[in-house]
Amino acid sequence: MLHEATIHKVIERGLARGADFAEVFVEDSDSAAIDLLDRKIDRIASGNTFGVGVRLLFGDEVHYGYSSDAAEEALLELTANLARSGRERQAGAPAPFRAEPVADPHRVSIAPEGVAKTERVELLREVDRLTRSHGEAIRQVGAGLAEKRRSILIANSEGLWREQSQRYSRIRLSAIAEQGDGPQTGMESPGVLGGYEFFRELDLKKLAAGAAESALRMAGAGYIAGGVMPVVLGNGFGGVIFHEACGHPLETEAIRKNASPFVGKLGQPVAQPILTAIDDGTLANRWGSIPIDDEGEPGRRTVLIERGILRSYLSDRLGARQVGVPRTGSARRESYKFAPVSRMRNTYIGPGPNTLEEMIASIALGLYAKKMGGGSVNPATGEFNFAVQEGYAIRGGKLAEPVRGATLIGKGFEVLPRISMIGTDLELAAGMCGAASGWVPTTVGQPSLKIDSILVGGR
Amino acid sequence: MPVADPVAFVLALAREHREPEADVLLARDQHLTVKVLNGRVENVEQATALGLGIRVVREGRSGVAFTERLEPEALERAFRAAQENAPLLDPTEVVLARDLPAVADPETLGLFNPELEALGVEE
Repeated sequence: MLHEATIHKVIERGLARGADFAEVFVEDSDSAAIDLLDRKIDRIASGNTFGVGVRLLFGDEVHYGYSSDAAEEALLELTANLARSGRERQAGAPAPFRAEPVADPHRVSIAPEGVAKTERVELLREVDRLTRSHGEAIRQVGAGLAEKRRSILIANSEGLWREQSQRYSRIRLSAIAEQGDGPQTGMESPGVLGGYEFFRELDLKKLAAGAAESALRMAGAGYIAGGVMPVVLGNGFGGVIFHEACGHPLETEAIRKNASPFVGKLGQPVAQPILTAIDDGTLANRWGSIPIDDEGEPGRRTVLIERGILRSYLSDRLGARQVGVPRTGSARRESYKFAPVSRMRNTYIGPGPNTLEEMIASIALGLYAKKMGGGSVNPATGEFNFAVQEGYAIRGGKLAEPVRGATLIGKGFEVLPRISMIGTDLELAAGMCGAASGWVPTTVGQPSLKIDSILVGGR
Repeated sequence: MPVADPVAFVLALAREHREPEADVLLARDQHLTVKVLNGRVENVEQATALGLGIRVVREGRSGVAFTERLEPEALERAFRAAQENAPLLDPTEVVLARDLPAVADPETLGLFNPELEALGVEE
């Protein structure tokens, strides 16, 4: 992607100007997206992203620059500019590069380039037809395919030289149903770290039914009366609350700034012994997996909370150094336009001993939040507010009527100890996570679980 | 090697392929960001990004593609992708308003202070 001699000169120039660490990140990615809306193919876009990121560390100061002009003179000038604002130090010499192969266990059996775009267009039209077949109350359908090949090269002043190429495939479907009292949306958006085989193997009927039936059930629903009550959170995307309210505060990017309720809590109980939470970058073909992170460290499995005890943060090079913890291979960035910081990969709460029926049966009056929607969180305090996309009242230990408009409100570290039952039905769901280093593919997940008490917003 | 005039290069391709309508957008972005935390410089970011977008319009169907590489092969690849995308779209119905209001001259809006160009990174 870029000559070794050029990269060596860039790193050498960074060190010569006083940086104690220099890194070059080269990206050459292709992306393609096709969107359908209102029965029409609305957008088809293809693109190539190419550029070079240069990172210099002066102690805890990060000087980051990038350029889509990969000419040697342009990169050397960029590096000199970055170093100009750093503190003067004794110059070191870069270590010779050691090219190390990257193990890649993620299957790609159908290369997207070999598949005609017309097949993708027909797939979207079929998804539209299947979704609308659930009844005339389905008023609108939106669907999209997104594919990406991301090739990166990382080299640094310690001699690291690693290259990898990954493929991502994802489909998004939203169905809007209307039955009197305003529109309601049902959504599905599975994705994999893999090739076009994902789309060929996808059960389109099941995908369409998931979005359409969820929208239809909520379109006919009433409202729940708000208050503090027990809640059963559904499996899969329900894990978004843990991701936002606990996962982000466990990143060293928050810990190093003292902006997390988990600062100084390593080794301490933060949840009941029933709860184990993991962030795993190694799961085969999972959307959030990374053979190596964006600093070149191998992606790995990190146990965050083990039987209720906080065991680890998620760290990048700088965060690990500042917080004094080992690196976890969690440095990530959207593209060469971002310096890497600690981010989640596939984050989930592990399975427990309970069934969903047991959890429902243990509640006299509460809410079953089967599917979660969007929300917001303050990572410094862990305060969150999430909409329930598909919810049901629980009355007398049984599932009762569907309810709409519910929100879950709380603080992550306060809610964690109130998780008292965890199901066997672990499921993972693909998402995009936005933070300081841009948008990266992440997986959230959990089994169904019971929170003994949480504030539910309603009417 | 990047081509000297990528816009002219792509428009020449469009003429060569007898595309009835094509447009090209070349964008160049430069920025400098300095972040300070607890009284200390924590982060300095300096960047230059180039990108070229291509739109090919055929019978109301707009195929688009972009590239951040400006070598001839990359520009040709992006152009072919835009060409390939256009016929797959459903036509867009566009109703243009008549007598559009005049666009203000950007110079008169005071959106940019040219004195900032003279500031160095150290400052």
